[in-house]
Amino acid sequence: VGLFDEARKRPLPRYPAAVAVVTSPTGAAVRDIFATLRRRFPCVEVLFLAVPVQGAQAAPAIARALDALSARGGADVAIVGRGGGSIEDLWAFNEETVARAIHRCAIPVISAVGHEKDVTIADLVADRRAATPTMAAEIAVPDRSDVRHRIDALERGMGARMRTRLERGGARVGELLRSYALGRVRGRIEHSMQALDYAALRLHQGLRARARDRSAGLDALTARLGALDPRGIMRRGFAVCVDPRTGRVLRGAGEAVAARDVYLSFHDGAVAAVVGRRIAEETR
Amino acid sequence: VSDPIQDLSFEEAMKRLERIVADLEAGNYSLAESLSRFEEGVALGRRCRELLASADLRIRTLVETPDGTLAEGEAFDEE
Repeated sequence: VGLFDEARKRPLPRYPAAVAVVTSPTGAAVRDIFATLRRRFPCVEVLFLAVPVQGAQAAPAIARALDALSARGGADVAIVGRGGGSIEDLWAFNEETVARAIHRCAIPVISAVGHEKDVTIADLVADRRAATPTMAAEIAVPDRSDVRHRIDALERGMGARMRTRLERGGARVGELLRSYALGRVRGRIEHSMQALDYAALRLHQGLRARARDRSAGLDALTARLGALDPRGIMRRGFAVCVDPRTGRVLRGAGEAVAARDVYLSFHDGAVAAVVGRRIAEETR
Repeated sequence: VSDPIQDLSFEEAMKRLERIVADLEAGNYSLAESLSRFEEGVALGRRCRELLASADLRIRTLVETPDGTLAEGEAFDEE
């Protein structure tokens, strides 16, 4: 009852760490499966359970292997099947014992029995049916060149987001620095601004170079990104003045006087401060 | 989330990398936090590539013991 229910079929893992293979140690099926796993995703671990796949012993042996596998754990998906043969040869895969063992297996099962035209009870109960053992292995693991493309795309996405973020963040640091009445150290600010612009320029060059030449490592890019961290600028002697009640950055002497109790945020921590009177222009 | 990147399985590393890209896209981080997530993402990408490039398929043969559990068997000869 419910053995063939489509709704209970489980999704297969995208990137299995271990694949169990339950089939005969002789014949083409096991070799096709191993060769396909090796070609597509050799970082997967294979747990091989050798069973007879025809004759009176086959059905109970396959069922026992699946149960033992469920009890042991350690595999993410199982392939159960055999290569082509006559209807009689494939008969074990029509037995109720096997169907029930597939149904109660703790991990998703891919069946691969015979050729395309052969459909057994096991195929109907399994979470996925593969037309051949080779195709079962193709279903079980992704192809590593596809996976590499996926990683490339994720890294590109990350780089693009980071660039946008730095442009925004960089602009905000510049704004902050400009808004402070720091006339006496204007030279130092300008020096910092130039360093920031220069780092941003190098970042863009770095990203363009990476787009042209993907073999250029991300390490160098990461190091350049570090140069844009606002903490670097603060470390050179700048602090940000914040109104602790609103969390807002204070952008002028007038605001600081009005707030009176402020926090001064340095690169390594913040201090509470009380703002005194505004001092005359020429002594700043 | 505190597992060292070198110990992550391929699936775990991929999931974390995908999560970081999504988080950066959502843009809820401070600049400094974005940078540290970015650096983590770079390390995760490197870990995934390393695993993909890893050596040959490991095949472990499991055999049934009399009590019905599985034990490590002799290496399977593919020849």
